[in-house]
Amino acid sequence: MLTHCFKTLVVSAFRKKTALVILLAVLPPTLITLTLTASVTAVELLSEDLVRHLSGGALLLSREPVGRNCSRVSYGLATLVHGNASTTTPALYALDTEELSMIIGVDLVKEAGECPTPAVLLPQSLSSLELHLPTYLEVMLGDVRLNVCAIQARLKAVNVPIIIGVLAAHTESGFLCFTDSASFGRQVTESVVSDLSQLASRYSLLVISAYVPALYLTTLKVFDEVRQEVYALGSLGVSRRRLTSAFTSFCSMAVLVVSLYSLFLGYVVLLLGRVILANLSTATFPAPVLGSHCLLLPVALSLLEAPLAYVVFQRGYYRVFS
Amino acid sequence: MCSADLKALLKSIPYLHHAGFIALLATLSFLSLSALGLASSFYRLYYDIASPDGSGLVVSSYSISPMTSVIRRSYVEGLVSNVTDVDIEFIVLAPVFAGGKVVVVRGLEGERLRKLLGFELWGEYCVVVSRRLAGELGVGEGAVIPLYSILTRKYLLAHVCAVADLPSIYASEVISGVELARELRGLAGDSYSIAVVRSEDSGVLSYLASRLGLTLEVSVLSRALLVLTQRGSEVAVEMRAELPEVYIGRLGLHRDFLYYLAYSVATVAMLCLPISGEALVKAFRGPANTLRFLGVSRAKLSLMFVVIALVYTTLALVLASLANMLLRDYLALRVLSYSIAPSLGIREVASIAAIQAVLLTSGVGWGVREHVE
Repeated sequence: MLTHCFKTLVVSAFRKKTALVILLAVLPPTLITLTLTASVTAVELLSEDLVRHLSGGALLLSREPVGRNCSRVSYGLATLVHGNASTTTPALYALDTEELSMIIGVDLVKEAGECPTPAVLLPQSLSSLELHLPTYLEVMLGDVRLNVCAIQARLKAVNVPIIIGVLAAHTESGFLCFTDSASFGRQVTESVVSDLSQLASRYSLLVISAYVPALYLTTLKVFDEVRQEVYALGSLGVSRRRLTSAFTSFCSMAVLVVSLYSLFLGYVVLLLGRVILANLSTATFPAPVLGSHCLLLPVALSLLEAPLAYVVFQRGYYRVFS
Repeated sequence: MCSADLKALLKSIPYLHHAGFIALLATLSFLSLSALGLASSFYRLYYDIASPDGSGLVVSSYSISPMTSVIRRSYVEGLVSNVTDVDIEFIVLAPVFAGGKVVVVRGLEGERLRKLLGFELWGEYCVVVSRRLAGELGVGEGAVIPLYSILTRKYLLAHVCAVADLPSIYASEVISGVELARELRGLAGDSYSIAVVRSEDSGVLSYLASRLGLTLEVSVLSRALLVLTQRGSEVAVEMRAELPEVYIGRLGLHRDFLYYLAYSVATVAMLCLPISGEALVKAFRGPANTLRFLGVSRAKLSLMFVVIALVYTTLALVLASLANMLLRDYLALRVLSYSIAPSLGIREVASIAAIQAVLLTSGVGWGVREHVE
């Protein structure tokens, strides 16, 4: 009996072109969510394409280790005093001299040469101090004053002084990692894309919630279209419970089908837009990808429709038979 | 007579129904307005980065953004030689990766830096950040922060000398001396990203433009972009009235595309309005048919429904604009460290009002045909 009721409602709704009304309420949230998801994916793909072309290695100082080639270091401010002149500069503190030497590709102990530890290796002579290296400098690390041997070293990618053989208080610790540029580029891309996808999901959520009242009005309209059939079925002795189930499942199913249709329609529109854009401008965008998560939206809309259809039917049933 | 009928019609349904319709329209207007507002704010971003105080003739090379532009100081000074009462601000902008996010370092020169911060920066590696950005980067005053240059792929340790209250777009950037920014950007001694030429006397800018063989109105000059393009050993000069268009154009996108997209989203967001218009007439079906029975014509009734729809639209737009102002931060788009909140102008609100009125009226027509006998 339930199947018969369901079939009657489907045929009746199909004849009265109810799908068009449902389309008006389902198409906007589907299309907007699809466009936003597709643009986030497009940015992701574009960025990945750019990152793929990055080559070579890079040194990266971060709070968390990046990859395997990392050495734990401390970094903080150091004030170097020579005679009456002084300069304050950020400096690196080697916690494990040997490990750090491997990461930066410079043998720090060898570079320190004649300087005994503790020593400060300067990337270039600090012009403000007018030093004749090697020499002894007074280094202020927080409240501690030390007399340290200073020597110029070829530190390649490191352009701050490296202090070996001494640990300072008030420093921060992190990891100096040798990483390939592509994996670093991926980190940058991820940070940019995560901001964009956050807004996209926030906006999609707003659109879907804004469309709940519209979906309710649409369900009212659908009920109006099939009220005669409901009256006929009720008069033939179909119970109210069965009719409610039939109407609710019919509405849910209709929303699911129409939103799936909207999703694919939106996809075709996006593909068309891409072709038009490729012809009218020099920009090239990657083809939008429909992930399985896109199917969540039709399912969510269909589930949302079920309670709305139930409420509409309960309110409308009374009027049909009064 | 008509106003009495309208009054009767309006009073015939509960206030809650009126409120429901207005709330629905307001929500849809809010979605559309925020889409348009975000697009126009995004478009304005380059204006704000290049000239945060909103004035001046920006000099840039032909590049995809102010961050990737390179100009030579000697050339810009050569352009304004023999012109008095002119002030040039040279700026170096460098995108860096710091604290897990991409931030822009703005390098400014002596006097301009002092004027912005109210104090002098000490030390070559000294930087200043706003309270908001310091919170996001997880640094405080006196901290040392690693800045990784995206363009040169080298890192530098910088010292956060101060956490300050910075105005407008500066609050989203790391402020430094020009040398540090130049090192991060990988520029030589005489080079900068962009320059902003300002003058109290508007005649000076038009004189400058005419000397370069360019003719533009004074009002346009104060917000224009002077693009320098190296052609062999020659530097060609080109004036553009729309600053962001030059940069966005280099990405292969025309300004209109951005707006077409925004208007499409805004229209799509309101596609269900015909259903709402039809539902509106349906809500008034009983009293409307009574009025018909009393001799009110269908045309007159339709007019009344259109008036109701327009009043609803106006109220909904006011509510949506207020909601947009209140929820600015929630809807803000993050581009690099810049927070782009939707900004609304009269043009955006008027366009949404027009689209909404047309869609709703079409629904009203549909409703009158179906429900009024």
